[in-house]
Amino acid sequence: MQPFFLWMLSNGSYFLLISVGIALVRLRYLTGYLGFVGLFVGLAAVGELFSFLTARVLHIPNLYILHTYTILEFNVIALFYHHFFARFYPRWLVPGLMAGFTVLAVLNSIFLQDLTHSNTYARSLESLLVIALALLCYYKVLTELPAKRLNHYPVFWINTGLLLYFASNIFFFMLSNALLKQPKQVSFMAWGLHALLMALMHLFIGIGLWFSPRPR
Amino acid sequence: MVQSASAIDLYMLVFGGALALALLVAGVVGFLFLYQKRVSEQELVVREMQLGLQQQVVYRTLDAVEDERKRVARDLHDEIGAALSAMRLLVTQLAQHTPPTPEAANLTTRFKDVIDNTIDSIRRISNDLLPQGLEELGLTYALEGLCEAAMALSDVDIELRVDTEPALSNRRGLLVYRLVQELLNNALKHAAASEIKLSLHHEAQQVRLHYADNGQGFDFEQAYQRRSFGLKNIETRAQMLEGTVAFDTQPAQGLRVTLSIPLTA
Repeated sequence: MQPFFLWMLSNGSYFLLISVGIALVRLRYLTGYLGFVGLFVGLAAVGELFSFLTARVLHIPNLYILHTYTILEFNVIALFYHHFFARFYPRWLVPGLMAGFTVLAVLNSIFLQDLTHSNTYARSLESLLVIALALLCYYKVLTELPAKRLNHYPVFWINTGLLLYFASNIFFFMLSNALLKQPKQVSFMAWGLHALLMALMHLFIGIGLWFSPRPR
Repeated sequence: MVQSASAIDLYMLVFGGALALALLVAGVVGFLFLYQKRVSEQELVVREMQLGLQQQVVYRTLDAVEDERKRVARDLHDEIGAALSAMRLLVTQLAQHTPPTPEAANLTTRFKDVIDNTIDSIRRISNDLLPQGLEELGLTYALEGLCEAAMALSDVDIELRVDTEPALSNRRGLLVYRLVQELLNNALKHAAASEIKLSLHHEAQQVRLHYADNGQGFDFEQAYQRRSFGLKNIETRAQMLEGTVAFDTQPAQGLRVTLSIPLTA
């Protein structure tokens, strides 16, 4: 098991290529809220690329990327939910969450966890908010019954992927402090598991994008 | 001590995390089951609505057919019947005004016969379209006329018993009449029956119609699967009356039909 998680830690990022590839293939069908999922996938790819370049090529500190990426990531995911919810929930709900989170994340970066430290507070808040949005999404789908076959409905896959990843994220960030006192191998395994869940998320998102409907 | 405390924290967090993840997966699976269940329920509701709508279309069509029959019957009687009666009168007057040669008298008689036959045909067609006396004198009177006409056409003996005039609207009375008409037509065409017993009586909040003949009967299951038009007609009319119909028959054992019509519908 340990080698597997270590392998995932090193190579988990490549699973991003699945969702990126499918997004590019289905690009002209990514309309409406699916467009924001495509944007999220693109943002993730750009973030990974910047991380790789700064860490492996330029060998410079790059935690500041995470601070910026967290804010952008949440806002793009929130825009996806905002478009999908339409008038089902109050229209001010998601924009309110976006504004609130952005302000709190910026304040966190300035006063609590600066750009040279991991922004675990912001990441944890982001996880909580995405979990809440995902549950609201499930409720909307259960109420409206938009598709006969749920396994062909893009939002089901995308929402499930986001929920799985961000729900597990909470425990990883709670674990991160306890992991610092453990041998490195334990830490690597935990982050390998994190990489596995990220890969699962992108796999699910890829499946969801594959089922994007052709416009009539 | 500090290390073991942090190890316990770690194990608790890992265990808690694994449990939470398992619950999450169970939650998603539960969501899937619940969703499919709701979709199935919704499909059932939609199918029932479609069935109800189709039924309404059939009922409206039958009602429209009956309205049209009524109109045609009235026009036949009021216009064609009246015109033929006037023609007969004119022919009689013509015979009185001209000297009656044998050929003219013969032609006049034949002309009157043709007109009389045509008037009888119009009356019969009109009666078939709209049962005579149903609206004015009630269902019992109309059924008596129907039975008499059936007996005049064949060697069958029809016994009709009605305890009291059923309290049915004109529309429902017409439906019962058509149902009995269908039963009698089938008996004359297919059953080769010599005796038919019809009874109509009140029971609590419903009217019961019993039909029984001593004809050759039939295989009900086979006829139903073949979607026999006569059976479907009778069933449809029973449904329009919001009643129930039960068939009891076997080959060579005649046919018994019981129709129950609620009075409160």
